[in-house]
Amino acid sequence: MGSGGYSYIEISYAQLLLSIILVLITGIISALLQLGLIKSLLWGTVRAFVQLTLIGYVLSFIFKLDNWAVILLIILLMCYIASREASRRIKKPMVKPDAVSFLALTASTFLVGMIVVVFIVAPDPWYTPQVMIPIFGMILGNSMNGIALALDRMYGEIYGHLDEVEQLLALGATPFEAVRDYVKEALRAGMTPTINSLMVVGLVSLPGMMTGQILAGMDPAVAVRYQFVVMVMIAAAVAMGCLIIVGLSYRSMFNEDMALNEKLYRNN
Amino acid sequence: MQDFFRFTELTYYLGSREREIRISGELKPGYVLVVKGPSGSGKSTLLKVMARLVKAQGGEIIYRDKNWYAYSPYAWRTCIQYVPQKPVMFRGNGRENLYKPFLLKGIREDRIFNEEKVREYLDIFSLPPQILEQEAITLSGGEAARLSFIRALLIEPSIILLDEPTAYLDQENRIKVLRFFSRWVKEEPGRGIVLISHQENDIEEFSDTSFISLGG
Repeated sequence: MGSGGYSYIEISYAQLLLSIILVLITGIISALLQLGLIKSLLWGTVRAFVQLTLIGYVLSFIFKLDNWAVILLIILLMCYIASREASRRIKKPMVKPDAVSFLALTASTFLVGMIVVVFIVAPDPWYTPQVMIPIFGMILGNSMNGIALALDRMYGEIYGHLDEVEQLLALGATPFEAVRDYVKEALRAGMTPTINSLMVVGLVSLPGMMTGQILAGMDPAVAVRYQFVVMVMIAAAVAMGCLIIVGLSYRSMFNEDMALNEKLYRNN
Repeated sequence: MQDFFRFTELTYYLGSREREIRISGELKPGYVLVVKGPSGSGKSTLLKVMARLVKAQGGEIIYRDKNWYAYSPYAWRTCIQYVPQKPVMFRGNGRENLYKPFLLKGIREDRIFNEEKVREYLDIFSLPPQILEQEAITLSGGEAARLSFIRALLIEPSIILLDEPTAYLDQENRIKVLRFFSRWVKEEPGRGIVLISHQENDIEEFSDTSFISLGG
């Protein structure tokens, strides 16, 4: 893994204990200014330590697995948790978005993730968990935000333009024709953050993954290639996820007679 | 033809399902059917139900001897054209707004945009031709209302559902618009109008009228 004689430096438990100094700094600021954050700070510190320790054990356990089916199952579970989180963020859904967001996340994540793992990174075996889990995790984290933004925007736009939608229907529009402009807005809203991050990466921010690889002793030139793949992969997954969720959801705002769902009027 | 436009036991909910409205009636060809009733009695919703923009809970409409569901919603809505009280203009100029329906499924394939007709209608409703180049959302209420009538007429519907058509018009344009529609409904066989109007003298402009009332 290392290059140029540098390999990663382990943080021992004694060294870890020194990081308490950093917690103290935060605590002193809170105490001096009476910000009332001490309790949250302590609780947050404990939680962060416990959660990270646990996930460390879980990951060590998973990384020892040599069974593709179990790894895929774990990724499906990750998709499920991410989809729950995504639908929780959608404010005014017509139908409970759990099922559609799970479908959108799983389909987009698997398609894009598999392209990256199998064709680009190509570890041996292909299901090597050290590659699969972080790659799929990064895709999910971003897609989750993307689809929540897209769906939220779609509902918001359509709620805000019921008169226009109704007028278009009166003029002979199909449901899709009636909401096409708003669907486009929604897709744009979902995809913009990822595309913007392509613009500024390396200038404003050094992404966490790349930083981590460099700390772990990887040649920065290689870390950069990884990072590039990850970013275009995230953009593709977000685009697909948004498209799927918006495509599956807009129809629920209409009834079987291709008119606006009467629930929309009632909420107004 | 036995039935031109007959609705039987048409049932729909008002607002939050608290009130159920049930109504029957008929529009005869060449006639104006006036819907009467106090504010909030469900007149506008009735027009939307007739246009299949709001779902009826029960009952049916027979149009030209056929049940309404025998027509596709797109064919129905372009044939039975609902014009809301508050005119809706889309981004783009006047011409793009008039052209909009010709890009949609309802009439895209079987009707063509007739420039000649556009000029004729602009003239009838005393709108200047420059309005076609003007950004539509900057139009005044009265201009937008008249432009929305033209947009509806270019679709060549058989029945027009007018919700307070004179609400945004001054006296002079009010008379022009009403006289136009009273001519339009007689100009060709098989036309009709369903009208909501608070102004009693609006109705006087039409020769053949019938009435239904809601919440009375």
